[in-house]
Amino acid sequence: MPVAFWRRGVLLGANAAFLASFGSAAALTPVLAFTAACMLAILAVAHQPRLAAAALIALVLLFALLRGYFPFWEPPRAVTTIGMSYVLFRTLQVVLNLRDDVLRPEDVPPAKLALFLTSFLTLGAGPIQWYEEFASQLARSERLRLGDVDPRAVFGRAVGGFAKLIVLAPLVSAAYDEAVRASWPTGCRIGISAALFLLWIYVNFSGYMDVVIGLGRVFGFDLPENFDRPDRTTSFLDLWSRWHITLSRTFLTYMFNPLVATMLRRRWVSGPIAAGAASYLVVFTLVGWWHGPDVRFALMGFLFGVAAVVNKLSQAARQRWPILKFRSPFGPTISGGIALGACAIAAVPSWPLFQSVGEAVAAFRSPYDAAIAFLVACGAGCLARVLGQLGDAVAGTALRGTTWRAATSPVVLGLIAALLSSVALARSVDLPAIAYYQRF
Amino acid sequence: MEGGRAFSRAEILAAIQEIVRPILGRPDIVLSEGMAARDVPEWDSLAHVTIMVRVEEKFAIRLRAAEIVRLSGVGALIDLVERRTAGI
Repeated sequence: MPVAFWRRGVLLGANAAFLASFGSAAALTPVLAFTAACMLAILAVAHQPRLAAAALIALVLLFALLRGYFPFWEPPRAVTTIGMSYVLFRTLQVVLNLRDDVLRPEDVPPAKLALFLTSFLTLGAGPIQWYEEFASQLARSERLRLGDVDPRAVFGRAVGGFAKLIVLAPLVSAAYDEAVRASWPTGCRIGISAALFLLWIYVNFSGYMDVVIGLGRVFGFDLPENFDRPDRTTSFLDLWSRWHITLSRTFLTYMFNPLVATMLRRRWVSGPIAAGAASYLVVFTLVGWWHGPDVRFALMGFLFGVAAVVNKLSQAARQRWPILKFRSPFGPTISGGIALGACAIAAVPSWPLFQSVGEAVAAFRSPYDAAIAFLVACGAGCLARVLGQLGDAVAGTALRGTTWRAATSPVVLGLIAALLSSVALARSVDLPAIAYYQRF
Repeated sequence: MEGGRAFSRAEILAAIQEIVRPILGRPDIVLSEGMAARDVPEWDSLAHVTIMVRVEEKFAIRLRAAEIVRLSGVGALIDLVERRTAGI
């Protein structure tokens, strides 16, 4: 048997072992059934491309049913739906690319398809890889030799990710728990808590991405980045090219662009700004609702959409009336801070401590408190930008004269020692990270 | 709307430039084949899809979702329009 066959077997075995770590076969029934349905749908569309629309509608309805979006049925607590939404996104792009003749039926043999849909590297929380990228990297991984892997690059990235997950994330989570219960004025309390919650999400999520991207390189996979220094953002719309990048590009490619294009082609709206505004509201609401069946998540998404519309309208106004352009060396910091602050406040309804939309809204107590919370969160966003720039400046000077070839081994060993100590200490700390990802 | 004939790369570039200028609010912008969207601050996602729709109307072609998002720059867009107007 050729080496490629055995290597694919190892990857498939790793996928099965990773899935099995989340529960028994019974608990994984929704995930397994849904993945099987996705495979069947793809193979059907490969032979009959005009089945694409019906297949996608059926899969989305099945996904919504299994995840508990319909009020008439709630999934049993004993089952897990880990990774289902990412399987759906991967299926969506393959089906649409088959329909559009970007992929041919011979490009999606069942074995390769199964590896793509259930890849242990990207099952839990992405990143959402394009099928063509996966296929070419799979071919490369099958030719990979151990000596081709740079252990410093691989394990340095993964160890850094573990440090974020096991050391930093619980600290930020603890700070958030303290802030949300502090006896500060409501606006300040919500604003600071919102900033900490967003920071916790970033540290958690980007840490997990560091782990999977680093380990992916062991297998020859160059997984796409999901974060690109969100502290450097200059606007709310720019933030979505830096935060959960692969989700943004999936929704952009297969929802936002087709929606805008349809509105413009059929003259449903007066022009691009109106098309963009309507599409931002629809797409961001769906992005929010994707986080969970609760209306709170749809509200979060809708607020993201409102922020995007406000951003786009302000850009259009400055383009039309250049006198409105405010040039200042602090401009990018202020606009970036506002973007991060808006994101943080919009995410408040998704806080686990709220059980309903009413509770989330009531937390603000008054429009005055909401305004103060927004200002405080924007201030925290500006601070994040400034600290990021300071960090870059310090790192630039510290690294310039350092011979890293000699320094790396003690640094990595030191990090591993710190990690092991932290794991021992953190066993008594509730690690919300894994529980959070099991939501998807 | 002009369909059913082949266009030279220069013609395609000139037509794209005329489409891009009002959409980006840059009446003086001069496009080149080596230019990418990221080189122009006003060329965001909304401008990108608007430009693609106008290009479709101008050349009587249809672009696919995956193609629209993966266009790396002006040169790639010219390549795509060339292929589509040639019936490929």
